[in-house]
Amino acid sequence: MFDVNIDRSEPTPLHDQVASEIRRAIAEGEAGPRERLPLAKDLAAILGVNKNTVLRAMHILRDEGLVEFSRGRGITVTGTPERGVVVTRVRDMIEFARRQGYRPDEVIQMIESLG
Amino acid sequence: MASVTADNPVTLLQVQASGPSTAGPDPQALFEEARRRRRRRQWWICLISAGVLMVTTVAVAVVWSSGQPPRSSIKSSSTDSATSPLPAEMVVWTDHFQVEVVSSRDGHRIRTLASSVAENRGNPTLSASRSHIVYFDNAFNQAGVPSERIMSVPLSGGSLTAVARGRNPAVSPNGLFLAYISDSDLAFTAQAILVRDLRTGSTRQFVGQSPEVDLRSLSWSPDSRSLSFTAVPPWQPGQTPKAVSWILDTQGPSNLLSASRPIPLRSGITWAGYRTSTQGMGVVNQQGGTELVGLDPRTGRVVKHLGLLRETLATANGYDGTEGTVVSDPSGRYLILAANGTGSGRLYRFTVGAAVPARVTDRVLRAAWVP
Repeated sequence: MFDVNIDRSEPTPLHDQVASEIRRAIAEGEAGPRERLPLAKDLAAILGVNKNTVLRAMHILRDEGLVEFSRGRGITVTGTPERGVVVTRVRDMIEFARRQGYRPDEVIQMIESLG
Repeated sequence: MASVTADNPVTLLQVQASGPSTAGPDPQALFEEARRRRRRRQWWICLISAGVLMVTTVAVAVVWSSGQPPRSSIKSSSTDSATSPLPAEMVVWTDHFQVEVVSSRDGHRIRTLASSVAENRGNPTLSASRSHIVYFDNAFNQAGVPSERIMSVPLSGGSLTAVARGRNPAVSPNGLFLAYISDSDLAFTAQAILVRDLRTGSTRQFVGQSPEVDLRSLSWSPDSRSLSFTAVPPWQPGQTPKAVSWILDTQGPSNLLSASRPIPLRSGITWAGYRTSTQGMGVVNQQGGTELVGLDPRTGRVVKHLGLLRETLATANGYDGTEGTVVSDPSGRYLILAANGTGSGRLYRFTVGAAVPARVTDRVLRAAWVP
């Protein structure tokens, strides 16, 4: 039986915890690239959360480039956890730069000048 | 295992670097557990579907066996007289040796036409025209010898008249001809079918080939030209004679029955006379019931399901088992079936297309529609 790691008492939102669980499962090789993920309702039943919470977590993972939604094929793995980490870091950096007064295109220029 | 969150991607990488667990089943295989749940759900759906299918099948079988006729693969004909009214009266031969006119609906007696008919139980056959009833009688004569006679009595009642020596009378639908089979008490000659023109009194004789062949079951086609009959070969020890039904053209050139055309029937189907000008009737005794079917007289092919009686037809009057048993009204919509041989005679009325036949009375051996 799956050991649920979701903790409702934690300050971290539930959908972030669920996203972490799914991310971890992909990182452990439970689903490889282009492989279909189980149904959200099954994941929700195991994790003890609402199906919409799982879907919200899936949207986060999609924004990270880790999974892809496609009509008829459900949710499939597209990226790797490493790429997901980089995407997260880039998103944090864009947010940090915005707070410092830089637009995203200026950040891109900086990255290109560094590369 | 520690909780992994999106806020801690380094931990995530560390987890990945450790690779999938190989030490036995992973208690945290999230996707595997989810897929297992789905497979279990699908298995339950299959199981429940199979259960529902089985229950439905059993329910349909129960309904079917409790009186609904089997769905026949034979299409119904749109040419049936679906609106023809039920003839009000029928004439019957009762199990008390009487010829009576009775109600077609409930079998109650309207009037008695003849009594003490054929007390030594010849084949109870009778036929009706618009004005008269003809019936078979084999009462003993004064010398104590049974004599086969065909008697006639007005439909409204009246005196009896002996019209011929013979049996199996059948009046043509147009009322112009009387067909019957020659008296078997005569010299040992081949039996013949005689057709009398009731206008002129002249009689045409169609002679069979062998004196050992027994003729029976006369039925006129609605156009009053063709006559079907059944020939039963002599009984042989250990064998059941195979009856063959034929169609005789009463206006054809030959006076020999051998010129008739056999009806090529499939095994298990017994010819039971004409229904319409293009269709005959057949009896199929099958497990759990007796089915009436429409037959193509030329090919013997079953072309229509007419009705189903949920009891096996038992007859006591011959090998073919249908002599005068099934009679169609002129429209072809209403059929009489006299299920004889189970003690008292049961009379059923079929309406073609109806689910179950109506049981009219229990005291009748044979019947005919009054046109």
